[in-house]
Amino acid sequence: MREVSKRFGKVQALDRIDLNISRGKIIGLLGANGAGKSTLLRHIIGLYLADKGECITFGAETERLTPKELGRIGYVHQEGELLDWMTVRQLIRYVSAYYKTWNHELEEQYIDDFDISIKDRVGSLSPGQRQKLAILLAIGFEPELLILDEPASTLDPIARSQFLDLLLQIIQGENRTIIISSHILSDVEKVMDHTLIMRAGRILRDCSFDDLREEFLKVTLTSLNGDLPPELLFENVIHCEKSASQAVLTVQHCTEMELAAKTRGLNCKIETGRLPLEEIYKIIVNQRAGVEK
Amino acid sequence: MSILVANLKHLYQQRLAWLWYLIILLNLTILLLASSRYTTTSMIFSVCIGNVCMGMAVGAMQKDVLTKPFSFCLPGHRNIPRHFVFLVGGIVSFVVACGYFKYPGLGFPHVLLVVLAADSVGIILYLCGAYVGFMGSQLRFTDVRQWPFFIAFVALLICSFVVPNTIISYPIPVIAVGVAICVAVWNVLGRDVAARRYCGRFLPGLLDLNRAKTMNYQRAIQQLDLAEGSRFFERIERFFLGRMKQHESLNTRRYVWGQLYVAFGKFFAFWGMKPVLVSVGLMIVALLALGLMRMGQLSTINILFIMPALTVLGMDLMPCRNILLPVGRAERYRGMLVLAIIFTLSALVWILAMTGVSTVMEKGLPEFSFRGWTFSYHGMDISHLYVYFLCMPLALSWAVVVRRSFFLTLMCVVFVLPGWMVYGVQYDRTLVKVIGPLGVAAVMALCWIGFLVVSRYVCMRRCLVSN
Repeated sequence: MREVSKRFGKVQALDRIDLNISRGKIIGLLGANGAGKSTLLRHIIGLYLADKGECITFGAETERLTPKELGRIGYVHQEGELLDWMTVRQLIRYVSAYYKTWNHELEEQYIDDFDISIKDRVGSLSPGQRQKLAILLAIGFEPELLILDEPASTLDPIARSQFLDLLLQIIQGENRTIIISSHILSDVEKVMDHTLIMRAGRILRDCSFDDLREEFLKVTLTSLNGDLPPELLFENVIHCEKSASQAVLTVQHCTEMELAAKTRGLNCKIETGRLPLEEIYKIIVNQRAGVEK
Repeated sequence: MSILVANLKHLYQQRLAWLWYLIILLNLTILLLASSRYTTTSMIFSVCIGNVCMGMAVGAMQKDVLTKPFSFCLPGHRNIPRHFVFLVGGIVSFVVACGYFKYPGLGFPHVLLVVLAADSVGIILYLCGAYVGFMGSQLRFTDVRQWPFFIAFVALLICSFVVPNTIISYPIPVIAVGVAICVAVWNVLGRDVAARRYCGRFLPGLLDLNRAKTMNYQRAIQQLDLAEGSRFFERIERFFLGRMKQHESLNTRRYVWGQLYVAFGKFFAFWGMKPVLVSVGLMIVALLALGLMRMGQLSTINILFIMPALTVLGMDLMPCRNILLPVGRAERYRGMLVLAIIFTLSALVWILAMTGVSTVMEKGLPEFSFRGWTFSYHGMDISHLYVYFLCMPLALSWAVVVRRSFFLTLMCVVFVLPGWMVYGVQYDRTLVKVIGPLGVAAVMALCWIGFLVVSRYVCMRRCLVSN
């Protein structure tokens, strides 16, 4: 994507987005409601067209995507709208009729694992069951690019866990790419290796998840003798909770070596740890909100 | 403030109710203007329709109140719908019935009885409308138990021309029937079971705009309706999937067959052959009834020329938007055109068949008299076929742009029908006579070109799913 912008009435849904998605990764797309995640995903597959900028998928402009390119993309829609009047079996037969590469073994295995009742009408399924079905329809032909827009929001905890295992299984295929947008950060955290964080139509972060995790450190300083000094001379402190003998700090762009050097004269015990994705996400979004204010 | 008075506020607080008032007013004005130029039959019919529409709006309003859980808990609230329905209906039909005070040659107390009889007829029609509004989507043509209601309702409307003579000749029996029906409806609306049945349920009706809620409701209904598959539909599925697989994977033709399957299959998915049988039944009724009615200088049966267009308004020419199928925008455009062509040709065959049958009936059915009215059957006039070719591209363009918005489609239908009435009345100044056959052909060509441009723009440039 190059300088992609999209506006819906007064809302700037995407604002000059630049994005490269490389093969063979699970990309987590994070953001609050209305951040532009679904809009971005729909641009990738040509359901939406950009007002400005250029969007290319598999070498073709998204407005000119042909069956050849689209036949390599699986997509799970956020609302999970399907053809309600069909039975599950009929819908699977219908969608599979489009693909030469439909994997019937995978289909059967998925139906068993996820306990999908194929005789039921799609319209009568619970939201979780619909979502499972939508996922099956998106993965059944083993796409090279799998786009999942809030796929796990309606799944129960066991199904979510199975679903994450499934993603890891899918990604083992050569050159497969998965883009997953989700609010359930703890789930995405388990599988993603690249992070995109969006806010108000802009990408705040586009980096590998490992880099992102290394960027932030949670540091606990416990004094071994007496109180901690009133001023702790650390840079890039994002958050600090301090009592007389203990301080818990969140620091950015600071390695453990640098920390050790700075606490050398303090006579205290240092414990460091990585922040969970949820906290990292909050920090990044709040930082951006602070800048905008 | 009493509960009833609080409920009466719905009449102006419910925003969509204003639309209904506008619709009633517009239709009545056009119909009255149009009808008074030629016959009183249509005028009576239009007044009857006005009562029915008012009843529908009020019935839907009360259903809306009953479905709210808080109204179930409020003391005395469960009885309010019937008070509300009868209060509004009583006033509306009495005001309309007062017109009989001016009827020439009626002395006192006969005129009083006639007014009460007219009030009874008015309230019966109003209650029919209220029943439709109240029941909303629970009314099913496929439910045999509901057929007596539909038959009585349609018969009452069709035979509305006998109303004046009947209420003047037999006011007391008419009043008796009216009272009996009022008592029955009063009991039905007042039962606690209605409150229990409706409370907390989403029952989309005539005042609902929320598409998401409507879809949830449809899903729930589908759960009830679709317990078993039909063999007929299985054959349809096999046919379409077979055709799809005859073509190369990722080929446009495969997509087109898939689209045809989705577009037509759903009509048979739930009830198998029933929709076909119901449609045939309705066609027979329409052929028989409409051929006997007149609208200005035109036989009402000619309205069948615009029926396919009205049907197309509610269709989605690009189904399966939310499932990512291996089809690009260009393929979707081609698929849409194929669907449009197939709809147009199928409807044309239907229209020609109806025209043929009605022409045969016109020659075969003798003229007859009933209660002072003489009836002669008129078939469809093939010279109006151009109206079909004008309406179809407009309806197709509407379907492409609006995409199955129930509300907007309803609006369109509401304005198209009076338009047709005016066409009937102004028949001596129809488009053909005003701009000539060549002009009509040019307008027709423009309409079709317009459809091509609109559908191409929607397929190639617009967002394919809603935001």
